[in-house]
Amino acid sequence: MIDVAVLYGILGALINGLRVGSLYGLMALGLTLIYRVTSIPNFAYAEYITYGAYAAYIAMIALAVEGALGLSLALLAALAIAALAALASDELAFKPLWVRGASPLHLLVASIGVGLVLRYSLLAVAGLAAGLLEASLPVRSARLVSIGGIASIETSHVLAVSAAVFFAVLLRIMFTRTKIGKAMRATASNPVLARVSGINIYLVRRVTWIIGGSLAGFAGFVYAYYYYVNPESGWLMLLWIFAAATMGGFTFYGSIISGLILGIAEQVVSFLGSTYFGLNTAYSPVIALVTLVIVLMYRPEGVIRLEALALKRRA
Amino acid sequence: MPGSTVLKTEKLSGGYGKMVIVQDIDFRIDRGEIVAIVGPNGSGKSTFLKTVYGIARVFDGRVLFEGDDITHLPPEAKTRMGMSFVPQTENIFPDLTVEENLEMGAYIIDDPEKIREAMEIVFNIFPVLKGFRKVLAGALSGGQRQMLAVGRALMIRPKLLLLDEPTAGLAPKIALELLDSLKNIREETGTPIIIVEQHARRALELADRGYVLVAGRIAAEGSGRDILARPDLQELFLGVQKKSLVERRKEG
Repeated sequence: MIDVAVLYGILGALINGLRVGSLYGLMALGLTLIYRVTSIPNFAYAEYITYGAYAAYIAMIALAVEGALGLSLALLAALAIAALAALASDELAFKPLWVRGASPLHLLVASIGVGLVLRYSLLAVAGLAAGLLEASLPVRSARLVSIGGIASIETSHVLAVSAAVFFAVLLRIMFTRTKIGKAMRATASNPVLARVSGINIYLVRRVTWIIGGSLAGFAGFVYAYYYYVNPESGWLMLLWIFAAATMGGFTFYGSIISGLILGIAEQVVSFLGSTYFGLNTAYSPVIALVTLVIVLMYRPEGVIRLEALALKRRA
Repeated sequence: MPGSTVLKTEKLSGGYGKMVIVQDIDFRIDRGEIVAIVGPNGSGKSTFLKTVYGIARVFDGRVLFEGDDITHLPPEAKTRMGMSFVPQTENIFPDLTVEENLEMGAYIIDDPEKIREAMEIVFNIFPVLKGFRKVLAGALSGGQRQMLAVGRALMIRPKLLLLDEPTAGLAPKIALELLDSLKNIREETGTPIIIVEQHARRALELADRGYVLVAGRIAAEGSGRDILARPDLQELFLGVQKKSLVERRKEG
């Protein structure tokens, strides 16, 4: 017989899986956008998230504004700083290499270097001031609904899930319906022809990095709203971000769906494992990665592939 | 009629890096004309076109478009002036749908009504594309891709269309269909066309005038019919040479 407490526990794990899964998905969105347009598997992407989280924290402490206004200002700071970090890494590192003919593999290695520079610059600065090595927003995620005293829905759940869905839909609309989105895809598909057609491919590239960086900033803000942030927070999530993006076939909807699959699998399986087999919850990363491997074995194209869908429409 | 000249080059020399490939080319195309540039492989046909459009380097001479000196303008500026270029390869966006490819061709046009009209014209010229509007261009056949490439270039309602070997790599029957469709372009839009072509005979039959390039210089020019009638040129440029080579091998 299954205990009622266990059922509540599973429900709680599902709810938390939705939050962490949405966060993975949200983080994968910007990575996917940048990858789709510039073909850079950007390992520095996680650092933009950390920068966004820190920007939100510092803005809120420095401005000393509480409540919704404080959070809004923190969000703005997160968007701006993460976008700036993303744009700077392209202008100073990736674009100059790309112009000289660097392949995606070269750019991947370069992105590891860019990530190192960003991460340890932040660590060096954070080490100087007390309270910066472990930070979190002064306004915390608050409980909205309590279910049986065990599971609960918080503001951070609502924020993470709604932001993930909202931005995935928004990006999809941008990519398929707007002129700038189509120009992004055209630039990715054939940069020479894009130029011949009169598209300013460097402008398109800058817009891509600003949007991709802002998305990282948003994810960083959501992260700092619920979790504690340290200079390596983003870096430690990088594997999950790439897992969600890869499993999603580098599509926007796919990233969110994959993020949710990873998050829920991780939370629910580790809860059941610890309840019935006494398995340490520290194994939960293994569960997420086993899920990734299983999905890629049976669907190497990812959970969703829009290109494949579009080809089918031919019939 | 000097007023009717759309584009002309004066003693144009061009190439890549430090290598001069075409030299002293005096070329002219008038309103409503189809002009073919033919010649053996490596004669500089494509390089001439790229020099005119600004992709290859200009060493000497001038390019005049509707009387304006555009010799040193970058390709984008020439597109905005109404010159549309179709590269020989990689001339579509494979990851975009047919419709989106055409929209990107019209990127510099803001009026959606004009874009819609231009798309109708392209679909009239290449009806097969209409059925594939929502299909990714990468899924098209070779011939359809070339039609799309030409269609993309037509989207700005160009004053001059430059085609770089549009039939390269196509099956002969498909190549002929594509060349025939160029006549439709003229009927639908009146756009003058410069076409660089390996299928020299077909191109010259289609064209009003032709230029024969050999080793980077103009070896002959005139009406398509005149060039085709010259026995010495047939020997050299129109595929007869290949045959004789094969025959010689058989003999040897």
